[in-house]
Amino acid sequence: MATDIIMPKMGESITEGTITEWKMNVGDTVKKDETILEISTDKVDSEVPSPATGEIISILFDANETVEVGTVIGVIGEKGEKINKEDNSEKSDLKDKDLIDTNKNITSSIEIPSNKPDIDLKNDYKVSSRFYSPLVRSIAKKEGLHLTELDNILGTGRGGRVNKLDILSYLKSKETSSSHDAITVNEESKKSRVPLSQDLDSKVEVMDPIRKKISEHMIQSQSISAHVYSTIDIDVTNLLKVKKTYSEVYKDKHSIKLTVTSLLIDACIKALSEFPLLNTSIVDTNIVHHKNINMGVAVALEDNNLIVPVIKSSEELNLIGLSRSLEDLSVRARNKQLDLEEVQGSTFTITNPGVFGGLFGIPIINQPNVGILSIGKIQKKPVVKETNFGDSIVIRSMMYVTLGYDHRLIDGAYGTKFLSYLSQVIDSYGDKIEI
Amino acid sequence: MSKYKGFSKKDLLDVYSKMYLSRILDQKQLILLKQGKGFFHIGASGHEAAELAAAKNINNKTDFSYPYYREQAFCIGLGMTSRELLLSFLAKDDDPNSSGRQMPQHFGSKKLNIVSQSSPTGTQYLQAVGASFVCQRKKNKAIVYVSSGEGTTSQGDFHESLNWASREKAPVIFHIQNNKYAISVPIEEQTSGESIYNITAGYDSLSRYDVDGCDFFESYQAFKLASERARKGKGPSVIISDVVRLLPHSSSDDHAKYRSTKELNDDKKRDPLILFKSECMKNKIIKAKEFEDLEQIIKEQVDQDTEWAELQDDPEPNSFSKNLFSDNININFSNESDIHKIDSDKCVMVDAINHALSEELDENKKMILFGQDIAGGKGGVFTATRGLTEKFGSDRVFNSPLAESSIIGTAIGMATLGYKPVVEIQFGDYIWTAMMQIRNELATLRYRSNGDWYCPLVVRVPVGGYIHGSLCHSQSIDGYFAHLPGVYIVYPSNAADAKALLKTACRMDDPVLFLEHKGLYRQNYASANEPDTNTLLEFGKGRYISFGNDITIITWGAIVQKSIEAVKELGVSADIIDLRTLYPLDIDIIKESVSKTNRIVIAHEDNLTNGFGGEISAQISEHLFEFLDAPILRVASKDLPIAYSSTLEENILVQTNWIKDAINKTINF
Repeated sequence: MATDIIMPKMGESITEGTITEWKMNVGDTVKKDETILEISTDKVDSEVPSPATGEIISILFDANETVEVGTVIGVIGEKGEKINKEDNSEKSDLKDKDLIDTNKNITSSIEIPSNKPDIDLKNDYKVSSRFYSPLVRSIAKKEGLHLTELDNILGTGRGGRVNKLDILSYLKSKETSSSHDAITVNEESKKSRVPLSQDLDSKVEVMDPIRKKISEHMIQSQSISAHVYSTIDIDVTNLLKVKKTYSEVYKDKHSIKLTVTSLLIDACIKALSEFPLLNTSIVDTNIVHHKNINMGVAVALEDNNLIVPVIKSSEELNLIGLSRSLEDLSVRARNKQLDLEEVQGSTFTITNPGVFGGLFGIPIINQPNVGILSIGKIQKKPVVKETNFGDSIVIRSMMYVTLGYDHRLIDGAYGTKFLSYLSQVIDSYGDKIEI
Repeated sequence: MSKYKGFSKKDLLDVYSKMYLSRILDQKQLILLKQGKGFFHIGASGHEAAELAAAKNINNKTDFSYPYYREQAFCIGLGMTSRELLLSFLAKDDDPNSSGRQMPQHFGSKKLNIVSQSSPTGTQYLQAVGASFVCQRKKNKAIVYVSSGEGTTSQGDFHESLNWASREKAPVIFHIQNNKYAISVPIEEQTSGESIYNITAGYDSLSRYDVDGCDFFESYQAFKLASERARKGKGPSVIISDVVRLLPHSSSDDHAKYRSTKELNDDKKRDPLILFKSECMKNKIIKAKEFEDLEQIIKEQVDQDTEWAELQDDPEPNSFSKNLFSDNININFSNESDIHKIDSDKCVMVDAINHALSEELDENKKMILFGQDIAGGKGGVFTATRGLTEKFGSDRVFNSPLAESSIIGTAIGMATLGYKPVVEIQFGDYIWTAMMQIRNELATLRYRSNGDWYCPLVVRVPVGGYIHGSLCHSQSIDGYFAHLPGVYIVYPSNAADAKALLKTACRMDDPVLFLEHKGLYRQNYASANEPDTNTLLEFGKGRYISFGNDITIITWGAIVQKSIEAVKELGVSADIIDLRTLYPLDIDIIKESVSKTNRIVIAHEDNLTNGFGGEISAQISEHLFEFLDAPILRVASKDLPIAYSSTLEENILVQTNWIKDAINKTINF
């Protein structure tokens, strides 16, 4: 009996996945739970384990193809079994339809580069039988016009030459005439066009699926949320002292690393408990108050991508538990071993560009959160402190922290109070920490 | 101890040590050159006595010197050290002469009041005369020393300078070192009657001395008399020193090719060092052994100094562009958009210029005006300086001799010593006799001295045609001078700009060529509401005369108005840009406009070939190619002399219809 290999649904918001690599070929025998292919979605690269033991009798989509969730992408059967055409007729109809749709998507969204990655637009315009001025050429390049398209523009210049006005009015008419179905198409094409026109000598590379998804998410987030930012300078001298004092103990007793990040997450959880509006989501005009604090932590990957594993119900963990979760999640994130649910369901996010030297970041909210905390670099600075003996300049370890939040729900007063409270929590770290 | 001819033994040893140092340095530099450590040397060997005699009469704190290239011994006499001279020979960064910018033996020292010298023969005289005018005005009994070889007295500038120095009884000493050869040309092929003394006769207050320049004592007496005379205000002197040239002209010359062995040997017998030593020994002032010891010490010192100098830094490679102009412009400039929106009385351009000069003469007591016909009741052939002598006195507003090189040359000298000459060349057509002064002196002084010396004068020049001025009263000269690094070029199109730009020119720290279109002087369309006395326009800021979308007209001077007419008659939507200054060129305003209109016409009055429009066109196609929707068209006068008859002139100088044609062609491309 044949078993279908199906593109898994990768979480509630996910509609499609891309096959990155088949680990098996048609005819290979496979055991249940053995990896048969790798896929990639907006959040994770994931291995797909075999749903059955048997032989792969059909592979329906090749690597790099993007397939809707739920689509059959291959079939496993008994050794020597053939696909029962009748049994699968309904499904294969669906497959064909999907295939067509998918192809359409690919061509319309990726356009020129996917077909001709090395296309040289400059040379393209040169082969025309018509003369184009430098300006017309540069506009055509910028707008990604094909030579044939350009050649068909009616010129009103000397001897029928296409001049600035001609190409601009052509572009204008194109925009309005294709407006019906063009809303998404134009959106799509704009994305790929704009960078293409910048430099003719550049190489064109298709984004890998994760990057594509990050890119979409970021743009989406910016159009959803009314981003607003507050920044505060926090004295982390005490926090560093605590870290120094206890990191040996943590290592010996619990075999985990006590890091600045885990201490900051701890402080952030405490602050979120005081300011619960930052631990919500907006759905239409409703505010969803989350019961738990699911702390997303941005982790930079070696391939230049980014993933946000989530420490679920983080408010229930003590510092040991937090540190352990953080270490475990970030190691597995870098090894691409995260399970799907481990990257979903965050209610607040922390990102730390400070470890790369950033003084402070202006982060984009991780949807559907309403807040994101960006940690800056820790640096020693002269600070004026009020003491009993008057003002004095002392050297303290200081760190900028920026809260990005959604002004649709949270106003400056609330956001800034959250930061002040966070600062107090961090400043109050002392020897009395619970371990 | 009794003195010999007024000199103590110590004095004489000092004189000899300096002559000998110069001699040894000549030898050392030639060795280094042959080792490939230098490229050029020009020696003073044979001239040392005359030069030391001169130096002994010059005060390096108050007097100023313009020594020519064969005056190493003079410079040593004034205080230049062997280390400094070796730094110059090796073109090292710390060379006080030019920081490695000029060839060796092109002397200059801020510390010793030696004004940086360039290479042309003869340009130094008029500058020295100008400098002596400043000394005269300061009334501090300071004098100016200037020198050359005998060949250079054939230059017109020499005679111009004798004339003006005599006219003013200027405190200047001309030292002509006659070694009988100008490179290879002997004096009999050079000078009338083989006598510089004779050809300098006839200048009223000029004192003349003909001395044996190999005899220190005789030479010294002449310089003593001449300098005392100058300090007393009795007038200039020319001292002709009969010297020998013991080396070829320079390291690039071989005198055996044109001088006989006998003649060379005869010269050696007149070696001033030998003569000096033997006179001192014969009179039992200094013993042979004492000379020998001194020579040994100097030789060793030069060897040590050479080792030291070779280890010094070369100029920083990225310093090559420094000090073409001053970096510090401390002028409170006006907001340029305001100066045409003021409410005041209208005035024509020539009056605006007159008012600017008057205001600046009030502002800066060191500012002076001179030129041909500019003084007195005439007040300039175009009346730009009318009334200014009356107002400021003939000390500050006066006529120059009818010699353009004299005007620029003396102005350079005065500007170098801190005065602000604003001079007039009556017609651009006649500026050419001053070209050497402008090209090799005015434009290069700051650069070649690495910022030690500079000459911030203003040269006002009426230019342009449309006045029935024919070939030599109609020329445009902007194309020639825009090629010249080191001079600002201003070319206003209207009275308001002219006043505000001229006032800025009067306050700049660098030379400004201020071009005034004589056809605009009294034109109604070039008149404007007069900006007030505090209005100063920054150079390098073009002005939009009109704004439009279809085409950009880049223009300046008299063609601004013709462009306005052309645009108006065609009814096109055009950016008209009046550049106002050609150096610096406002490339930003061009960029801004061209990226909007994408079509350009450049219109100027100068003739087409190598006109400044060619440069602008090139810069646009280099930097703004992708913005071009049509070829850049230039409208310029014909490559012809400008003819007198109206019917001919109209076919040679740019006409409004020509601009209209170019606009049409460009817009319909």
